[in-house]
Amino acid sequence: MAKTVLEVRNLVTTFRIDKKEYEVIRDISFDIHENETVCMVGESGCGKSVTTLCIMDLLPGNGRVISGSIKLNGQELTTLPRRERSALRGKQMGMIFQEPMTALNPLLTIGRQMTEGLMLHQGMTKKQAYDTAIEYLEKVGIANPKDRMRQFPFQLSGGLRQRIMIAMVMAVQPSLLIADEPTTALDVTIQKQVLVLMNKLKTDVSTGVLFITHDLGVVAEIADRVVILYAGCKVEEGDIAEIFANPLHPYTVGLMKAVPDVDAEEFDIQPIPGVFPNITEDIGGCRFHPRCPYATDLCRAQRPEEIEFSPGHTVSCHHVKEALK
Amino acid sequence: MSEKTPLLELKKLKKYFPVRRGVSIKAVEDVSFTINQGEKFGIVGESGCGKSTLGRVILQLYPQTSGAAIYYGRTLEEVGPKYLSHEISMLMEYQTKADEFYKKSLEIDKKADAVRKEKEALSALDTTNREVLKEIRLSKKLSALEFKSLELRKDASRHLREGSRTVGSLILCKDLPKIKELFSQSAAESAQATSAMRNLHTLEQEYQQLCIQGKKDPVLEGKITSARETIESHVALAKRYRQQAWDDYHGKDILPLTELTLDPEYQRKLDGNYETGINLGKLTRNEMRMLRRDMQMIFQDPAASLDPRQTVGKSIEEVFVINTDLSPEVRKERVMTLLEEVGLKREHYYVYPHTLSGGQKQRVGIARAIALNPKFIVLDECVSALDVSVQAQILQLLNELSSEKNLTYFFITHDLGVVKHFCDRIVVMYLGNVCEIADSKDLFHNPFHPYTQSLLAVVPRLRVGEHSTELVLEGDVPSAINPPTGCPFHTRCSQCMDICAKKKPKPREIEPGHFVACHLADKEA
Ligand SMILES: Nc1ncnc2c1ncn2[C@@H]1O[C@H](COP(=O)(O)OP(=O)(O)OP(=O)(O)O)[C@@H](O)[C@H]1O
Ligand SMILES: Nc1ncnc2c1ncn2[C@@H]1O[C@H](COP(=O)(O)OP(=O)(O)OP(=O)(O)O)[C@@H](O)[C@H]1O
Ligand code: SF4
Ligand SMILES: [Mg+2]
Ligand SMILES: [Mg+2]
Repeated sequence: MAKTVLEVRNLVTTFRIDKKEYEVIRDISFDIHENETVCMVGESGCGKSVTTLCIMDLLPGNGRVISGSIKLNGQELTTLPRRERSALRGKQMGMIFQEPMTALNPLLTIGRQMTEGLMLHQGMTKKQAYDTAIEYLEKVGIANPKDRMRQFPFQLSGGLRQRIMIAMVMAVQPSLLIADEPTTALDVTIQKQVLVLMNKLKTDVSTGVLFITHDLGVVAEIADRVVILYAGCKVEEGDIAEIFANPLHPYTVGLMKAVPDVDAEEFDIQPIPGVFPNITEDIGGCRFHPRCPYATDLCRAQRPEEIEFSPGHTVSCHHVKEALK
Repeated sequence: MSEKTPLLELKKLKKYFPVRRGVSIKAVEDVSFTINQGEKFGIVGESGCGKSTLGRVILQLYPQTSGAAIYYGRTLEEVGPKYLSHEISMLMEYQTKADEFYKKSLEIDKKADAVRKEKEALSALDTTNREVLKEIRLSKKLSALEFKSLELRKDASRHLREGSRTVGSLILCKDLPKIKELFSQSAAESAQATSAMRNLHTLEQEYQQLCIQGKKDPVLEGKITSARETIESHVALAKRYRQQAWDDYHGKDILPLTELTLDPEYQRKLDGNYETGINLGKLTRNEMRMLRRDMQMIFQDPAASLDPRQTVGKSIEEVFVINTDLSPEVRKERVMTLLEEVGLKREHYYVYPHTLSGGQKQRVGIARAIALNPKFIVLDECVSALDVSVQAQILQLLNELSSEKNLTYFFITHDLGVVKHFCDRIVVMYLGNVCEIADSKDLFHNPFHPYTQSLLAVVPRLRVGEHSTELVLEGDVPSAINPPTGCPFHTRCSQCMDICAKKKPKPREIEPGHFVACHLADKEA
């Protein structure tokens, strides 16, 4: 069994809005192992980004982790002093965002930004840092790394910036890489380059990857395991092949049916009815029940327990059997 | 779908954005295709390939650099565009100018002949007696004359082409003054039809007002009927005059204006230029404003077009306030109906945009777009920012609306899965150029253009373990300021041949309705 890099247990997070606390993450647990990509999927607002912010300790002022544990390489993070935690960022945990410009300093050259990170987190000399930076730029397929090192972020295309961002994060050899929609803003052609690259680097550096996306095609391409969130709850988790072959939760099934499949001959548009709830909305029982075709009184009254359907494939639904039909 | 009536025809549409002197972004390059009525026409391509620009040029939100967008959703009679009477008044000038230019070119040809003879005489001499300098001078003179003659001929045919837009090959007829007369009469009838149409519009609004109040007015009803009849008779007359010109003069007494004019093939070509639709780029601002009701746009970010301080109802109602003289009660009722049509509730009239979800905001955007009963809608990435489940809801709504209201869509997207299943026909663009146009099924079964093939190869599949790790396309899209010579795709194409860098491939119909601009298609043919 591969080493567990990240272990999240019973995470509960709230946001204070208008002096009231609202639960945004409702008891989420999952693991990420070395050399493994876990994709987190779900509708906008379901809590994907907030989960990553909890792990990175970057929650905004009105957000708070209420309970639960987050362990990185066995070390508990939630009780760690702020300063020690932020030291882990950039060293053991790297993060890639949708828009790399937000993470790159527009006033510094690519070279300066890359080498500084390496000298700070890895204690390298300037020369070592320079060589490593070049090595990683080459790894991400950048043709003339020495010239690129002298350029500023605005001089590069979106695809190049994202690749440089990946090089920068991976050069530090973090044990956990978090990528929040890293390819959403890119064209399919560039997206493909980035996905292939991330897959390659993951094994080169032995990293565990938490990959956030809402594109099920991207999930099928990159994930080893999938965690599906709905309105702050984990509704299903499983091996990638298993989830696609055998989706259990009515929400997962609905998602799969809603995506127009490029390879299908015919496609009948079948939306999930209803709207995604606001965090301020109080929905009892199963959070999905107002939109679920199988909902019963039990669903309205009681939150479903997590069931292990087959080894590694878990689901939280009262009526798993119905959804299968 | 067997009967296809064109709604919009793009003819070599071009849009350049000037950057500074002599430098421009070539956003759309000679794009030609036809969108049929009731069709969902999709356009795909990488970011920056000119999708949005093309959509905006069609709607005349940006003026085109050259080319034409011809609209068939209304007849010339209905719109009675001003440019038409101007063009009709120009007909004689087009013909005489063409004649003059051609005659001049013939004179120059004569001079050229003289020079050629002189030069030949000189080259016949043996080398010792030859005046080399003189010979060089003559050569230069000759080529200058030849060039001038060619330019004049081009001018001549350009004038004939301009005229043919209004009257087809009739521009070549000896009886052009009489033809012109008939076309002017036709245009006068059109103008009367247009003003009668405005009158009818006002009457109908009055009528609606009464209906809402539950009243009836037989006099008003009578007026409406007679207004309709007036319009019909003007429209019929306008058509009759043009038909008469056609019947009486087509193919008769053709003037030998240039060496081509007697060639039936050339005459057919001129007939092909004849525009029965409305050339959008030539409309006055006012005329275009009238047509804007027919042609609407829906954007990716619906929030951007909604005023956060205005209720949803008010912001939809605004469309009626600007474009109609409906009374407040009628307007409100219309908005209520629209809200229901797009799957919202009547209560949504009173809420503010920030309380709506992304999908609901997009529904408001759709309500605004369909408020004036348009015929044609440009949808610019209108589902791209939505979650898949919401995206499916909106696509379903758009599908229903299109069949209920016989709408025609120009659907801009970069999602190949969506375009395949939502659109009937698809155009693939690269760097402002059309690569391939085909029925959706055809395009996905039989992608011909190497660019289409590489796009399809990199789409994330919904199948686990079926992803190639090959990077099919290397590098970035070249700059639209200095696009590659020849085929714009040749710098990234895996099948690039010698000719690709030199010559730009022309669209070729490889199968009925399936067009490809690639030298490979020429090679196969
Ligand atoms: N600073 C904040 N204050 C209050 N609520 C917040 C804040 N940040 C996020 N939220 C709420 O938390 C919930 C989860 O947000 P999150 O950003 O994690 O969504 P997401 O799954 O990443 O969505 P997306 O796909 O749009 O990125 C949302 O309902 C959001 O409104
Ligand atoms: N108003 C403008 N002024 C100058 N250049 C423009 C303008 N609008 C677009 N362009 C340029 O024209 C080209 C085509 O842009 P366009 O927005 O049409 O692309 P697109 O295919 O819609 O891309 P995307 O998928 O990113 O929306 C680009 O090179 C762009 O930079
Ligand atoms: S014309 Fe040549 S370069 Fe262009 S797509 Fe076809 S084969 Fe490739
Ligand atoms: Mg997010
Ligand atoms: Mg665009």
